[in-house]
Order: sequence, then C-alpha cells, then structure tokens
Amino acid sequence: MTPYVVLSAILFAVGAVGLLVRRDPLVMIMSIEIMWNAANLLIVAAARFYGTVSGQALVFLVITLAAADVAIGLAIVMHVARRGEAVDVDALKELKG
Amino acid sequence: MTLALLGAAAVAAALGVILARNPVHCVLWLIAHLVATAAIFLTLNAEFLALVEILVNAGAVMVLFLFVLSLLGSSKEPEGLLGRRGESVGALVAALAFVGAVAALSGSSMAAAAVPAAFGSVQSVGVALFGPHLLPFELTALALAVAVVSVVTLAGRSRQP
Repeated sequence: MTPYVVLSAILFAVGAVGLLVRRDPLVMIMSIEIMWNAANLLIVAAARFYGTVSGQALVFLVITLAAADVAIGLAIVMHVARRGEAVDVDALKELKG
Repeated sequence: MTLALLGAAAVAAALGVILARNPVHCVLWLIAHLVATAAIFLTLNAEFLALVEILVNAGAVMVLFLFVLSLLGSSKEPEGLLGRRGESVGALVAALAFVGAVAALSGSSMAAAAVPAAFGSVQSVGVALFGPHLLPFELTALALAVAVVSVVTLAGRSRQP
C-alpha cells in the first residue's frame, strides 16, 4: 500500500502548494480539487487493501460533495467579478454583498 | 510499473495545474490529472469510481470551470508562481505535510486483501451505498440541495445594487 500512500501525499502537497502560492481564485479552487483527489486516492487504496467496498461508497459521496464545493466557490467568484472588482484574493477584504 | 507511469503522469499534470500561467491551460492540465487518477482507480479494482471520476469531475465540473472562465474572460496572472512573498512559507508547509503524511502512513506495509471478482463493480458499490450507507447518501442529497440554493442566491442577487 506504500506506493499509493506516497503518491497521495505527493499529490496533496502539490495541491497545497498551489493553494498557498497562486492568487487567482479559480486556480486555487483547482488546487483544492487536486487535494480532494489525493484524499480520494488514499481512500480507494485503503478500500482495496482492506478488501471492503464501503470505502468506494464513501469516495462516491466525497466526489458529490466536491462538486458542490466547486459550484459554491465558482458562484462566489462570479459574484465578486460582477461587482466589478479585480478577481485577486489578495485584494479582497470582505465577502459582504 | 503501471502505477509508476500513471502516478508520474498524475503528478506531472498536477504540477502543470499549479505552474501554468493561463487559467484555461490549468483546466486542461486538471482534466489530464483527473484522467490519470481514474486510470489509477482502475488499478485498484474501482471501475465504477473511475467512470464517475471521468463523467462527473473531468466532464461536468471541468465544463463548469470553463464556463466561468469564458464568462469572466481569461486573464493571465501577472507573476504566476514567482514573486509572491508567501511562497517559501507555502513550500515549507507543503513539504512538512508531505513528510508527515508519509511518515504517519507508510509504516503499514500491508498486502492487498483477496477480493471477489465483482469488487468495485456498479452492483457491489450500489449495494453498499443503498444498504448500510443509505443515511449518508441521503444527507449528500440534502447537501447538494443546499449548494444549489446557495449558488442560485449568490448568482441571482448580484443584479441589485
């Protein structure tokens, strides 16, 4: 199981770097998507190595929630962009509409 | 060997996501990353999840990203990965997270359990999903409904001053 753990950790670290370093909120949401995927990969590997299919059911639910997460994040980005502000997370100071 | 190739492809595509300057290129790299992840799922006897990964994530969610990008107009980040003060802190935090995760988890060198031939098929995942995990499944439907309502609220309210 070790190769899958290492691969998942690498992918999670790459996503964390992207989240911390990039300032375009869309790319930050994509980095979060990479981190979701790293976690999913670890759960699927655990399900395979423990021989239980419950982990795969859990990953199905996680994929659903990740899609909801992305939808809300993109709606916030659209909302900020329509107010005419620059889409730059460093320039944003409040979420109040 | 298969895992090494697929894992290298997944990591390279993930690096492409965080290194590409143009957000459209980021989306395309992310699609490549998701396809590679789906292939890795196939090596773990998760056929249903590999299909869901491609249909939902690489299909629907990425189209959502591209729609938003085309609505906003693509704009390149002026400096990309370089030129931000927090980057060294970010790299340090990520390296610590990586080392910690590997150290905490890789000690268990367990062998793969013997699984039946239908492991990971639509039927077996469905039986698990609608049998012992029915309540979380229903709660996910509730979470999706909440997400839809919040998205409509956020996107529709901005017309008013």
